[in-house]
Amino acid sequence: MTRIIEKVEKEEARRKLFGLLIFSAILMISLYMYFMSVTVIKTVERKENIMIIQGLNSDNQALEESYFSILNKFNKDYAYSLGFVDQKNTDFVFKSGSVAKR
Amino acid sequence: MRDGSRTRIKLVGILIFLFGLALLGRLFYLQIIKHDYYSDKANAQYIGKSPQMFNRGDIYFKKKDGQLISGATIKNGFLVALIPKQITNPEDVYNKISKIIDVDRENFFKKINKKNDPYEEIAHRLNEDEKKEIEKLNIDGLRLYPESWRYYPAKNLAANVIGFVGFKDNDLLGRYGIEYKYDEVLKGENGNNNVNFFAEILSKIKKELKGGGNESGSVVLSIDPVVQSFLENTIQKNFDNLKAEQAGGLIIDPKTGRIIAMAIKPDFDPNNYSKVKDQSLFVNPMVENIFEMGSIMKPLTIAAAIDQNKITPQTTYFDKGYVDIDSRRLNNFDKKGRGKVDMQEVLNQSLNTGAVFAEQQLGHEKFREYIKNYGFGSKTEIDLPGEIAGRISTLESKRDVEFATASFGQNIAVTPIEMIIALSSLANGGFIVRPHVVDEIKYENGDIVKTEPKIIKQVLKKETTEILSGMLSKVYDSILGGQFKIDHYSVSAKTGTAQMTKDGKYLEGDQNLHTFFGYAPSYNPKFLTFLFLINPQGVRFASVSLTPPFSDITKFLINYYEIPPDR
Repeated sequence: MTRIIEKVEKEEARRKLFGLLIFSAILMISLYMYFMSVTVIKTVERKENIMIIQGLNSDNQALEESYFSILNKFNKDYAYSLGFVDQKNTDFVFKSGSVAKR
Repeated sequence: MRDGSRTRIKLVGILIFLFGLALLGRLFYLQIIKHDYYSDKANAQYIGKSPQMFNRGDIYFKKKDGQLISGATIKNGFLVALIPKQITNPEDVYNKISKIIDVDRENFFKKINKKNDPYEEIAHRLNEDEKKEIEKLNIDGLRLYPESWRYYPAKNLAANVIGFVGFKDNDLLGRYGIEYKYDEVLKGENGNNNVNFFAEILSKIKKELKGGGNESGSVVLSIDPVVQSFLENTIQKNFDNLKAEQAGGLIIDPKTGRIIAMAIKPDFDPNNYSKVKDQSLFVNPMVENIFEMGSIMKPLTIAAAIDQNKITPQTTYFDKGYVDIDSRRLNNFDKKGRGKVDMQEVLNQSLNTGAVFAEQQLGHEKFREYIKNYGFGSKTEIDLPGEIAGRISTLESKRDVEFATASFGQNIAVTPIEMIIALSSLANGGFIVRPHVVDEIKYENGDIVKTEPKIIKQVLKKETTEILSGMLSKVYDSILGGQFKIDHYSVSAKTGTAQMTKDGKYLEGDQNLHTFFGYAPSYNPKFLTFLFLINPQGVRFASVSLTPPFSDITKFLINYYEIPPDR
């Protein structure tokens, strides 16, 4: 600390320090302005994105609605009406252990 | 000079620090403390303000492949409002907008006559196309505002599980079902979305200062919409055909307590809950009502006696068709005696005298102990609201007849979910598990909390459950002459028909509760199905009323889950 103060006492160092302070002040103001404008832009972008998401959600909801109505429609009676019949004489093949052979 | 420089440097340092602190404080004030105020102002500039914008987590169904389908979500649209004093020709306005949307004429003119009122809403839930049509009219004094509302795309599907959101005083809250049970999770901190990195950090600081805050999230149910839909359609058909008062069905994985489907008929559309006149429809009888379940209790009585080595399936007794206990005569359902019969016949023919015999072999103390260990008289801790515990206080009595009637499901009343969990122990190796309808909660911050299966206790030995599964498999194969036997698949099942009670007295006539439970494949079940019907007309026994729908559901589940044959 003592060494720093000794340097500051010199005129040139004092000017540099003053310049540094000015630079810091400008930098902080610039950063503040930058972040404020980013905030505003992001806010607008976010609102636009929300609108897009809402649109996509609406499409998704419409798809889900039709999914549920189809789910209700597809049953055994509907299958019979289309001419499907129950499968008869179902046979299963069973083998204990692994089926694979070298 | 040296002292002066040091002071100046310190002074400048302090000023910079204070400046930074002031900026930070200002940001905190604007973005956190005044967040709602400025957010509303911004919204008003951008798309107009609505008091009805709200946010809430979704509720999802989960298909067997893990795909999520919305059960409850937020729908966005628009509301139409009027500024009455700016409307110069109400008749013309009404005619124009009623061509596009439904507007109640009486209500419209009632509102438009409130000339001193600056704002009157006349229509809600307009879609994008309707909004554009209204905008094209360009009517002075007519405003369109965005609004959002809770929407249930599956309509009636699993309505008693999901519940709905409704007003309580001035607040929109979950009122029934999952909407109520998980209200804190679903609503979270309404609309507190941060717009940038700094706000995010400061918001987290605020939450820490306030004590954490509520993270909002979405709820993923274990309910599979395909199975739920099939179950609902099947029991609806049965409910209509038999003109019953109420029908219900539940499908559970007996090993984990994971509920795959739960249905009640009649039900309601949660999108239009305000139009429901009978509010008892909102109650979920699976957890909120108690019933005397009847003969589906018999396998549990016999299992307890076998577990204590007091009887075996081959143990015989002499069935006179009745037993006299404490000066009361307890009859078989048909009041007929079968002579010497074994325990398999007790289940096959659902003999009350046989259940009484098994209970007597076990002893009252042990029987009461098993009943409690099955979970009767206690809540199952299912993640649904309003659960009540069954009533088994009759077993505290010293009268023999109380134990005798309890052995075949009378005089003790339990919730369906209590009974389902007790019966699941027969299917899962003897364990009592905690039932659940929520698979996981997905929080907005990315955290996922999964519901882990929870075993409460073991109540029966594994060997006992294997014996019972075999006995119940023979029961199912013999129901109604064996016409519902499924080739290549073993199914364990039992029916129950019980007299209904009201105010502690049994109702006469056809006032019956029909119950049915079954699981498949018998020795390694993937699901257990429970069905009930209250007061079905024109049918006396559950074997007739509930075996056909159970058979349909079982065949569907075998196909849907691609369960390999076991015999």
